Amino acid sequence: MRQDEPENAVPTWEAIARDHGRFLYTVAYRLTGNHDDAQDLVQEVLLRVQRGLATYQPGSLHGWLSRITTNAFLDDVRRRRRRPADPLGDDPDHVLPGAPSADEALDRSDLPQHVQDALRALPVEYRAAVVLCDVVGFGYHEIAETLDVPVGTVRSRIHRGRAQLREVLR
Amino acid sequence: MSAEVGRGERDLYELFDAYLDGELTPAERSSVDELLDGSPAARAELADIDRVRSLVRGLPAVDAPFGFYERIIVAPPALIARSSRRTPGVVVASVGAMAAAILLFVAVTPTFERFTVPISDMNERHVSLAASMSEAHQPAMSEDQVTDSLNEQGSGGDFRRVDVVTTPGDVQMLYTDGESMISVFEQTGRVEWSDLPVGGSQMMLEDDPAWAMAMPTTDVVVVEREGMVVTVIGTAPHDVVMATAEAVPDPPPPSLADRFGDACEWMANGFGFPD
Repeated sequence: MRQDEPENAVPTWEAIARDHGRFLYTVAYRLTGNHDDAQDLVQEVLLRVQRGLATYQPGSLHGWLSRITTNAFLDDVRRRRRRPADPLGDDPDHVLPGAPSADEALDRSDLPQHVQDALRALPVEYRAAVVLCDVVGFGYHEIAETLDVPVGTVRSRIHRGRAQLREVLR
Repeated sequence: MSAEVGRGERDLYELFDAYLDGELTPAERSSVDELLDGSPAARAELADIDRVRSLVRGLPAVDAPFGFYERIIVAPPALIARSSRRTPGVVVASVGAMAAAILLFVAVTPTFERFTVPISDMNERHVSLAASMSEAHQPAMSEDQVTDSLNEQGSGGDFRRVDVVTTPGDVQMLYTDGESMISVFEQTGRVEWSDLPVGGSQMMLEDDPAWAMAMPTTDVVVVEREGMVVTVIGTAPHDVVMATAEAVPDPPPPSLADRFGDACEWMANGFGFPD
């Protein structure tokens, strides 16, 4: 997942959907935390990709796709915030689940899901920074550029995001 | 973190994440190194951050549901845009806009024409592609693109996708478990059942109309789901071919609410109402 191969040719939309779909879906799933929203997000991303291919500069395709995915995700979150009737599972003021009980701590056979649940419980700004860093493999400057915030803010969001994950994943 | 940690030290603790990510300046890095050298508590803190960081980095890749991308490739972009599961939040108050939206509702409803499924042609394409794949002895796709959705959804063996062929009329996906080959063709539309070859039998697969036929070297199953036609052709055992046809999920067509909402939203945009 973290390998990002440079590509010199402009890919076709179909090739992106077919050949990079797994990468796209993984990033979308880690951001949204569920399959329904991940599918919606990937569809939105592919529409934006289709529109943006004409201006695509050959380079890091995964980087380009990650930026589009994150922006589409954050746009959707903002849109939902403006519509309070819509259920929103990722309110920034969301109360984190408590630390697991001893029994829960012993039962970690579903560890990836447990980590995914903890990730989903993060405020979206923290989650986006952590996903871009630890799932996509971006450096802090790339994350800052993608999220349009200063590098110091990225550093702070990753620190706070991981601190919250530690609370849940003790 | 210990309550006895001083403020200067606490500031350095906040650099631990960037330290692990290699994002500190040389001066900051030296300060953190110095702290770590003399503080077991700081080392324990760093190790715990690294544990969580590794957990997230170790999360596996996630596959989309079986056939998800293939359907996107086949479906026109406008249909993709309307297939969201989200409930539109825009409610238009204007009576004029509402009335016009009702007219648009009809206009944006996708219609799916009945067509003749070219069984013979598909069978030839399957046999030809399977033969070329056998000769190549190498899957056309990298390990990263291999999907195990077929296995997860009950087809049995260790099937993985080895090729995808997109034509103007359909998408053909070829799967193999090393011995058998299965092609899954996806097309938008509805089946003209009366045009299917003589000798097959009609049935219901789950709640969907289907048709199956044993050909000399292959088994064929056609199933119609929500405006999508899936044709499965394979040299695998009959029950595996049937399980594959059952494993293809329903496409996500726009619901009535979605289409009505979309029509309202279009009209709202047209009249300049805020989102």
